[in-house]
Amino acid sequence: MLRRMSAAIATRGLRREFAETVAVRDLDLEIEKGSITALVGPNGAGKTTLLRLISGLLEPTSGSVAVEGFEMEKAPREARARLGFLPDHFGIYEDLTPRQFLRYFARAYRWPRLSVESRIVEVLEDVGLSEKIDEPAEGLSRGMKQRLGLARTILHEPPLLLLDEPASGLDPGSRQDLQNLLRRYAARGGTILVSSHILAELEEYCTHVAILDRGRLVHHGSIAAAATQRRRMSLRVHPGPVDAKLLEGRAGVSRAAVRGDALEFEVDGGDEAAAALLRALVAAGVPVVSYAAIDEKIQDRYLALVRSRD
Amino acid sequence: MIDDVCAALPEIPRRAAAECARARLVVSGATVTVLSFCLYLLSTFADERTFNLFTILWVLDAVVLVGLGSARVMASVSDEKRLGTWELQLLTPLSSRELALGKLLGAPLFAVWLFVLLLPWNAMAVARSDVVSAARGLESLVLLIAATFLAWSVSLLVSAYTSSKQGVSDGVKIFMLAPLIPFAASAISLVISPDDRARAIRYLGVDTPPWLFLTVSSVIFGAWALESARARIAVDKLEPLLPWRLPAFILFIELYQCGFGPLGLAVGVIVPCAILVAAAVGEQWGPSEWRRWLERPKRFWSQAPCWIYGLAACAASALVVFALRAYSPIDGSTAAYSLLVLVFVARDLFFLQWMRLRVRRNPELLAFVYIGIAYALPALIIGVLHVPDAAWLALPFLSKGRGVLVNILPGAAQAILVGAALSREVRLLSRAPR
Repeated sequence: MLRRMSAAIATRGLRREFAETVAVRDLDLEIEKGSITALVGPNGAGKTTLLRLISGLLEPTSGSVAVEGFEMEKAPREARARLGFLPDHFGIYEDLTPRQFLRYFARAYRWPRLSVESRIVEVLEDVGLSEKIDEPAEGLSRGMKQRLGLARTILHEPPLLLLDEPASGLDPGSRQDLQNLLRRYAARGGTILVSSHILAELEEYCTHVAILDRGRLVHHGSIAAAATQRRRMSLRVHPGPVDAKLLEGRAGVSRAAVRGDALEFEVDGGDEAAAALLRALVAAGVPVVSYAAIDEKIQDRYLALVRSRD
Repeated sequence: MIDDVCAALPEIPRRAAAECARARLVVSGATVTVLSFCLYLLSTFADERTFNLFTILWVLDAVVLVGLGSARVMASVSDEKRLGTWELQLLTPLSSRELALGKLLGAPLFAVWLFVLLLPWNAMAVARSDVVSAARGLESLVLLIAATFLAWSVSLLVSAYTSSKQGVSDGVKIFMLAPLIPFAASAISLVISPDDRARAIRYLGVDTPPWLFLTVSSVIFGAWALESARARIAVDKLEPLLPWRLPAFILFIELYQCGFGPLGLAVGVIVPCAILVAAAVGEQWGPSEWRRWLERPKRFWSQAPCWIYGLAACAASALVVFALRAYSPIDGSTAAYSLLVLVFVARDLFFLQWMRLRVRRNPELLAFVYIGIAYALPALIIGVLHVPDAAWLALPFLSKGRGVLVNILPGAAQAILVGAALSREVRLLSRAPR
């Protein structure tokens, strides 16, 4: 029943088919505890299906999922108790107030009876909905309902949060609040796997990125580590224009292309290799006037990977 | 005690909060009280044979509990699937049993409230009646509660089978509710009848009071329906379970029918096979289900299609009926016919599965067209050629002059051929590249 406890999520050969379509294709993925992982990919890449498989809402065609060491197939109850999932589309009981809505889920998650009310107040404050605590949910705006959904997701303090487009329907201020909330959650040791199309926002608070394309995991790793493994650099020389042939035949250099008056390229080996390359260029008499690392965003990495597969 | 129940089944306090607001309880309470008082007042002026308060109040009770209550239970899971809240419930660690019981007891809370309001007036009607004894009033109460349990359980079963994208079709609803109708009608007619109970029902050789027979039957069928609804919810919750429901129901139906006397052809053979075919059609077992089943040896038994278990149950039952034909009052030809029908049903089920693997669009419809032709064409040829003696070669007919095995042989050969074709398709499917 128990799997490696160091991983918050561990999937092995996870596959899900819908008739002739393979939504998730033999996926092996381990999400570290305490990480905030951005799950990105184009429409139809299998992000939502993957989140639903991990949360136990969908049964895999083959393979397995373990949450905090508990396999969903063998111990679904234990696994579910340890995760909070905010689906892309979900309903709320509109005839209840937020307090009554959360009270139901607090009971369902077996939250200690004596502290249910204080926990509800605390969670609604966390998501900025405490003013509406006793108003019927049918009067809440879309963004407020999204916040109530988020409150339900974190109500039982699960060690793992799965969020599918959590910022959907939120105004810019609320998005900032959401980011702060997720950061606080991760700082307390929680693990978060968040799917979103707003890549610039994910950049703000994610520590890892997992890129899905057509059901396959095409990249997974730490954002910081990615920078140490491969650097994207920009080079300018005087007098211009710079020529891509300048880097031909140099080890570890790839994807060189001229953009404006600069030559952009990738160098394997991180900062050390980039410094060695600069030394080599100067030694070879190349008149370098500018040599800088480009701060590569999730969006750049994602687009590069997806375009290279196209 | 109430706190413990609410803690175990949080659906009950949720429903109470949503549907039993104080204003609603007060208004409904006042309405029921005024209505009951008026009826009571009227009854004091009228002759009991023309205006029987006992009957009128029990009709109201039945409408409230069986009618309103069942409607609320039937909407319980299906409404949640439509609104998108069902998945939130599936995500909780609540077990399928806790969810099922919560829906069963929580959804009809308002109906229960109305019934509780009516109950004292029922007691007063019995007290002032010259015809109805207190014992008979109690019998009516017990029977109504049992019939309500059956109605709610079947409603929950229907609701649990609703898909999130499309509701249960009317055909399926009618199929699932059909067994309930005669039961509920009999039970309710007995509940509301002020006269002496109808003559006793002879069951297992014992004369049983109808109210008792219907009460026990309702509780047994209700328990089966509730457990089946729970099992369907367990499928949504990915809880491991054995597909025992169909075989258990088929065997139970046969045993239950045995209580009335020797098994006739209709109840002993046709009814179980009809249940089996309907379940096989409703199960929607397509290529991805086959693949998922065959690729997970650990869940081989728990994820097997229900028609396989149902077919095994029908086969076991037919073999027992046939083996015991010499020692039981069961008609010998019925016993042999049960085997004959079984091989044809097996052939048709294999063909249905084969079509599901071969045809993408409407495989069930096409399968039934071909199966219909497989029965109609030989019948037509035999009719045109006037050779009824040859019917046993292609149709489920017993040829009197031949032994049982010879009679079964043509049907068995067809079943084996179609089964082999199905087996080949399954092998191809499991080897197919992804």
